[in-house]
Amino acid sequence: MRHQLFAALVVVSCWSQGVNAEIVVIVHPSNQQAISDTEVKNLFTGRQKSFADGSPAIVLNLVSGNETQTAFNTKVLGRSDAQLKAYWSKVMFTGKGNPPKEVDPAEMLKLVAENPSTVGVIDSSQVTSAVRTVISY
Amino acid sequence: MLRFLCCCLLMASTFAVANDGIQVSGYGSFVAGKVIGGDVDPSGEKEFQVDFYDYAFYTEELDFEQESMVALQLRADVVDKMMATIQLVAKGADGWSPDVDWAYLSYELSQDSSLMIGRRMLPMYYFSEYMEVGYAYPWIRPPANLYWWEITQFNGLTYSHAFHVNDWTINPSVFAGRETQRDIKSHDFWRNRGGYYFPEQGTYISGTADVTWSKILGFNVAFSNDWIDLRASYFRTHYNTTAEVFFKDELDFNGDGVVDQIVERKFNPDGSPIISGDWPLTDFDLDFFGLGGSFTFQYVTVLFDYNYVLYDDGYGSEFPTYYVSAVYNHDVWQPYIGLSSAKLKLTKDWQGFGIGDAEEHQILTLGVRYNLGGSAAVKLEYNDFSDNGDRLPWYDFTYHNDAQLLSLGVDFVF
Repeated sequence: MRHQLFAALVVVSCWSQGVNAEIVVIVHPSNQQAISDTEVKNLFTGRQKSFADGSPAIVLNLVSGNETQTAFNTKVLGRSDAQLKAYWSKVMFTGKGNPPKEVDPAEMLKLVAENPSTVGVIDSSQVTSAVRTVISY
Repeated sequence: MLRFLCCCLLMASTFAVANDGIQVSGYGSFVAGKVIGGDVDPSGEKEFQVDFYDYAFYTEELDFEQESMVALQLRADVVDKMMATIQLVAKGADGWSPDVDWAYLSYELSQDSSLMIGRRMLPMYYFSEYMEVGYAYPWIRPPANLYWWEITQFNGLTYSHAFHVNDWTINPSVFAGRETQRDIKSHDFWRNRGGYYFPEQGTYISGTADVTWSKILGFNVAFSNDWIDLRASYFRTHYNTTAEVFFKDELDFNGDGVVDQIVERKFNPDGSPIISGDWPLTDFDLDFFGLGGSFTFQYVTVLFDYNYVLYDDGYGSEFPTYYVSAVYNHDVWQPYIGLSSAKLKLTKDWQGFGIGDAEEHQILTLGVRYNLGGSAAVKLEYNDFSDNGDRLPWYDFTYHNDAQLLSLGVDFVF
């Protein structure tokens, strides 16, 4: 009985985590371009520096260790936090670019709401009407 | 040229500091190592080479300085779309005296293309551009029997462009320039270990050898998507090494066939040192071909590097080399295994020396990386160097014998 209860709790907790842990990519509401999964991967690894229309993109990450950011790194970029940090150190010290600026969720929402060039990630539960969701994971 | 550039960068940095626009970052490694087995080398010790450029090597005595290093990078906006970057690297093996590894101005021609002017790492092997940044790769070091050149940077131009095809990013770049390293340690190092050095004439004076790679001209093409990263590279350069030499003139004043005086002659009549070097073993064209990359699967990353170097020298030397490594990616633990192999083939018969395989060695690597937080990693590594190059009747070009090395390191970025 105890085992069954534990199993049920695990299932419920996984399910609720799954629902709560949806990650979204957000942009300024005036940015009405569609952004594909490939573009998200390219933008957040520095391989692409502009949106599809050619306008420059400012990529924002949540602070290192943030659960949503870690989940985004793993699920979308296919890398652990440590792997991504190693990747960015290679990029930084070979003159090929800089990692995205890291901000907390409140600042993420503020910056994306203010600047049409920005693109960032956030937990779907924190999205406000001041930003536009372009893709969900 | 380099001094001029450094001055420009310093001025640019000062300007940027005044404008509060300077970015400071850096990286470093502290590594301890000890040879734990093997055969005695011509030097009389069991040695394991780890950095051929700075001639760092371990012996059976625990050493903390051979690979320990720290680097500081300063980046600043100069004008719109132009940045100045300088990277100073101080290594224990080099007496902690700072070297300028990178010093360049980069100009963004567009979102996807840029021009880099100045000093940078030469993009030879897959890991060449960031071989000093230990945090960026799984191991304590890239395989030392591949990354062994005296020249690892150059001064010149690089043009880079990126474009996208489906989910691939394609990044071709071209580069050109030259580099000279003066008073390099390599000739002394190898000579003292029974290695070869071939001045055309005279006797080599310790510590005076220079190496120049001129007319460097090459390209890289990188192909990447979210799990594959491939890079093809080619360049050609003119290799020249020279050394100051001396002659011992035997003087017979009275013509009786008996030497009356021996005079050591180091200088030409005009007072300049006598230089030796312009002959087919020290002055030739070099071609480098490389293909390297990584495949990132869910739990495992596979990395490889295959290279072929051709010397148009008296021996027609050819160096086929490869490296393959697999890394298991747990969140914080990354155990890894690797195998590197390097060979020297002589394809021309130089003065009856013969042709054939002259040198071959392999390094088997086993290790584990543990990631500490977001900016440091601890690595424990075992390397087994096997010398397969003792092939009679050839001279033993390998200079060093089998050796096993254990090293422990901490890499960090800031």
